Amino acid sequence: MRDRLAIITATLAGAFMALQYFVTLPVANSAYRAILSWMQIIAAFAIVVGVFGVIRLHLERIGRKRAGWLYSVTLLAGVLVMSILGFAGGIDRGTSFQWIFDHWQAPMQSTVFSLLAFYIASAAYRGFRARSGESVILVLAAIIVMLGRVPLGEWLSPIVPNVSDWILNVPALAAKRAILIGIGLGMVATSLKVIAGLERTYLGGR
Amino acid sequence: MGPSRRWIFAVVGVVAVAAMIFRPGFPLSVGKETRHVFDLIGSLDSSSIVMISFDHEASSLPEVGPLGSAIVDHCFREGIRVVGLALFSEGTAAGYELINRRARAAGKS
Repeated sequence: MRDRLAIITATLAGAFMALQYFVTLPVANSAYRAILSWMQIIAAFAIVVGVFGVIRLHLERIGRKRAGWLYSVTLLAGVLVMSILGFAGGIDRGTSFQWIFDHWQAPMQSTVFSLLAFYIASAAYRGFRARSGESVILVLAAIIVMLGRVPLGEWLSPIVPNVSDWILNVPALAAKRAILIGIGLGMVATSLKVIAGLERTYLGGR
Repeated sequence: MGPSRRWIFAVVGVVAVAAMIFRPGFPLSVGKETRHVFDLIGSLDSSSIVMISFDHEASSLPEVGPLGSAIVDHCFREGIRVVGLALFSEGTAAGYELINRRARAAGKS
């Protein structure tokens, strides 16, 4: 019964949101705006539910001393400390919350992000081996685009940035748009399956 | 089989450190996109409002932060009001802080 209610709600909401796009009646427009407001409220509650879910999961991991439980302690300490600092002292400049964001979180995330350069170099070496005609084109395009994005490329020749721009704006953009159209069609197909009640994985995989 | 991953990591590390120590200093030129953004902001009148979306996280702050500062500074120099928004949770904090910092530097409230 609970599943049926969820499916009926999803079908009605999905069908309405799809159909309202083609209807110009004021009542449809105001209902659409009301539903958008509801979505924000639901999303806010979903964050609260998500935070409690994460806390419960990591408490369980600590309680059972599972592998990596110390990471869970760190995570929960971070959630607790930042929540207390944020709610008690605010998040503006000069607060402890902002100080931790600037001096802990930003440097730590930047460090992890900069490590990507090493992994990308390793992956590029393996992926860009010129084994066939297509991979030679890929390697050449990658080299030109990389050179065109940095001052070294223009220093070598002013043509390099122009060729780099052409690669990004013509063949790469065409491929990107093709992929986006494919994603869009996939989203439409999945949405239609949800509206029709054929796609039920959002109910928890039942 | 090519060189092991550690050699690739070592080469990238040496190049990165060498670039920081020796500072090769290649000439920097202004790209087309940058010039377009600059000209567009310059063509607006002072009653305009520019909406800037800080769609990045703290991880890319050293890279994207200076770009945001340059655009916000340019808007303030032209007397244009700025509205910040972000679709990333950390971008909200980063953008809010950046706009406030640049506003103080420009002598705006």
